[in-house]
Amino acid sequence: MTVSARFDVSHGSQRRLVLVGALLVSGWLASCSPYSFSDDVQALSTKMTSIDASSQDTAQRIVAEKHLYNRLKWIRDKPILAATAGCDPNAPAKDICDLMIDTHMNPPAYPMPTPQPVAPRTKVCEPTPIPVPTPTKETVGALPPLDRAALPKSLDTYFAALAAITKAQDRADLDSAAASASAAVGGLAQSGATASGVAAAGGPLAGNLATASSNAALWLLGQELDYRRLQQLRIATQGACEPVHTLAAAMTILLEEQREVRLQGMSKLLGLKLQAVGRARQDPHVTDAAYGTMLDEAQAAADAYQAIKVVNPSKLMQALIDTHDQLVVAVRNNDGEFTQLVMSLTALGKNTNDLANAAATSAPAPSTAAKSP
Amino acid sequence: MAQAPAIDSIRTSRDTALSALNDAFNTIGREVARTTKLGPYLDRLTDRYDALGDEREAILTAATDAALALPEVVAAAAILADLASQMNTTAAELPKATDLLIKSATVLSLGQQFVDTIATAQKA
Repeated sequence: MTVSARFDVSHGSQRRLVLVGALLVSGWLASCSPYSFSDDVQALSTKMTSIDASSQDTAQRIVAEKHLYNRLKWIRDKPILAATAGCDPNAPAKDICDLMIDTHMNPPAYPMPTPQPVAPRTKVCEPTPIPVPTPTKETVGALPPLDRAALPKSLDTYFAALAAITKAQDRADLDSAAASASAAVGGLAQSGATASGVAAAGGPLAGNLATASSNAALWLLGQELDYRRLQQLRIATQGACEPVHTLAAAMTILLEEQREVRLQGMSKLLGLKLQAVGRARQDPHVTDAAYGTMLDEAQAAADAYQAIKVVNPSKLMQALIDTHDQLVVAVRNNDGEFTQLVMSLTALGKNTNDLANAAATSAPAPSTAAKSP
Repeated sequence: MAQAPAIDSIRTSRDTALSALNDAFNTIGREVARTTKLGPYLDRLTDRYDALGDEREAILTAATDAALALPEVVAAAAILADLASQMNTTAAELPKATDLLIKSATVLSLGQQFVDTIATAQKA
């Protein structure tokens, strides 16, 4: 029975029956609504973000003050400088890449960490009774290998489509339209009553009935809208479950390549900067100001190195998989965990931004005088 | 769909190959940074440093190319593209459906209020 048909009756008993049925259907559909956001949870999240930002700011100030102290001392003493052991690409993130006074001892080499498997098979992606009409490996056919740009693009396109299907704007438009339509219908009913010569007492009754009918119809339409959206989400997330795992694993290897190549380039740059500082300390014509500038460039190279080193592509992609798995489960169970989902997506966005920020971090260009006398 | 194990195998092989080069690359890098006197020694160090770096990059690139060519990776990307297309189509239809249904519901409600008005008038 269509929504329109439910209201295509004129007898009172039939109308009551239809309205009761509509309310029952509404109750069932209401449990599918993806709009169960909690203001309290959002407020808590905002406060925690503020505390986190404050803590990070303090930590950065401490490091900046230490660097300033070293800078002044090294300009005065001009010791031989070197990179710390943290400038090894395999050093753990807690061992900071920085400048230090050279001890003329090579630091112990860090072993290559064993790669953690990405995307182990989980029960989340197991088939469910919900039919998922998606293409298979066979129907895809013999496609050419992905290029480096196409891989992240495929994930990006999918997540953008998820955002499009879950956005609330059209539902907000519907609610607004419902309010306007109800007011207009109520007004028309009132006018109709007056025009037909009904006693004043009869007018409001007719208006209320008409408004109630209109409200019920529009409210039902809204639930239908949410239901359609949720069904599409179910189909898409279930079908994408394993492909997201596979592509996240492939993304890991791509991001690891980019991280390693970038670290290698930064390592070379840092080496040349330190070499330039070493030559400058032996040159009596180099002023303290010029020497300070060279120190700043070497420090910037070490900082950029550290920013890239702390990015862990494997963990980043695992976070992507975990977030998507949570989405699959939340949509499948329709258990009202959308607020949690929003927080997870926020965390995912932060992780992704960390990578983007690290990639955007750039040290000054290599000094052309690095090998000059 | 077979998945991550093939990619993890590529990663493990890649890291085994890299680990053989890493120590030499880092040790020579530190020596380049320390050497302030220009001359044949620094030139040889720099050449070797660059060669080791190029070799590392070649290993990294080959591993990524191998992963991107895996059939399951290609198929997964195609599936996601199809699903994204389905969702975008539905998302584009939803607002249109809303407008259409609102209009039809309003018309129905107008008919309803007319019937109500007549019924109420008859009782009066």
